[in-house]
Amino acid sequence: MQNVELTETIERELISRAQKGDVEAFSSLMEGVQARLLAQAIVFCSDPDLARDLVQETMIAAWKSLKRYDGSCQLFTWLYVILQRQHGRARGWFSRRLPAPTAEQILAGSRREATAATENSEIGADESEILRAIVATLPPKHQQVIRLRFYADASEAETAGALGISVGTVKSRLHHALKKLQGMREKLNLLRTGDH
Amino acid sequence: MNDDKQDLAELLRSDARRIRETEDFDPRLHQDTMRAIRQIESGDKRERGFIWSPLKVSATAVIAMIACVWVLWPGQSPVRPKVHPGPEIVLAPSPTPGSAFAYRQALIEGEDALLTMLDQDARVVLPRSADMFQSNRGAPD
Repeated sequence: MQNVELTETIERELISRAQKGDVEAFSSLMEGVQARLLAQAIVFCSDPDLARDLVQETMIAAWKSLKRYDGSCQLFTWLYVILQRQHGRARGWFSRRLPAPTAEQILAGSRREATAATENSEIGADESEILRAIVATLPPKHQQVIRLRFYADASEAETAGALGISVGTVKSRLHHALKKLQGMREKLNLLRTGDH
Repeated sequence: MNDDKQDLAELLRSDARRIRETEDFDPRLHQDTMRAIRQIESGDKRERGFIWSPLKVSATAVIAMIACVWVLWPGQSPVRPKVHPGPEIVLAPSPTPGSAFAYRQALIEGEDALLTMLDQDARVVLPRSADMFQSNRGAPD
C-alpha cells in the first residue's frame, strides 16, 4: 500500500475528487507522498517526532487549501512549499530572527553529529550535515528555490508555479543562492584545512 | 565558478537522493492525519449548517416583511379598493375679497354686484362711523 506509484491520470482524478471534498481520494494521494514528505520534514526539524507533527500539519493545511491547487506544479512540489511555510511558522517570529550560525559553528556542530557515511550514498553523512546547515543559513527566498529545485526535484517552471514567481526570478534566485552556498563552503574548507 | 556551481548542484542533488531513501510510509501517522482531517471536515459541515440555518430564517423574514409592505402600500397594493370614477368636479378658486379677480367676477355678475363689492371694501378701509359717511347722511341727494 505504501510507496504506491500513482500514474498522472489517476493522480489528476484523485486531486479532482479531493478538491470536491472527497476525503478518501485525499487519503490515497497522501499515501503516495507521505514517506517522501516525512523524509524532507526530518531534514527541516532534525527530530523525527517534530517531523511527524510537521507532516501532519502540512497535510491538514493542504486539505484546507486544496481548491487553490491549480496543477501548475507537481502535487509533491506544492506540498513541499506548504511544508516549508508550516516549518517557518512553527519556528516563529523570534527564531526566524536569530542570527545565522557562523561557518565555525556549523563545522563544530557537524563534528558533534557526524556519523559514518553510508556505503550507498554519494555524499557522506558529515558532508550532508554541513550542506544542510549552510542551506539553512540562506535567506528564506533563497532557501525556497534551492530546496524546491534540488530537494523536491522541481523544474524551474514548476518552482516558479509553486512560488507564484517568474522563471527568470527563479533563475536569478538560484544563481545568488548557489553563489552564497559556494562562498560558505569555501570558507568551511579553509577552516578545515587550517585545523589539519 | 561555473564548475564549482555544477559541483555544488550535484552535491545538493546527491543529498536529496540520500534524503529520499531514508523514510518509509508511516501508517500510524497517516491514520492520525486522516482522522484529524475527517474531524475538521465534519466540524465544518456542522458549522456550515449552524451558520446557514439562521441566515435562511433571516432571509425568509426579510422577504415576508417586504411582501407585507408591498401588499399594504396604498399605491402598490393589488387588493386596494376600486374607485369608481364619478362626475368630474372642477373647483373654481374662491376669489379673495378686494382682489382684481374678485372685481372681475363681480363685473361679470352685474353692476349691482360690483357696487356692493365696492361698498364692502370701502367699509373695510373706512369704518361706518367715519365722518365722511356721517356728513353725507344728512345731505340732500
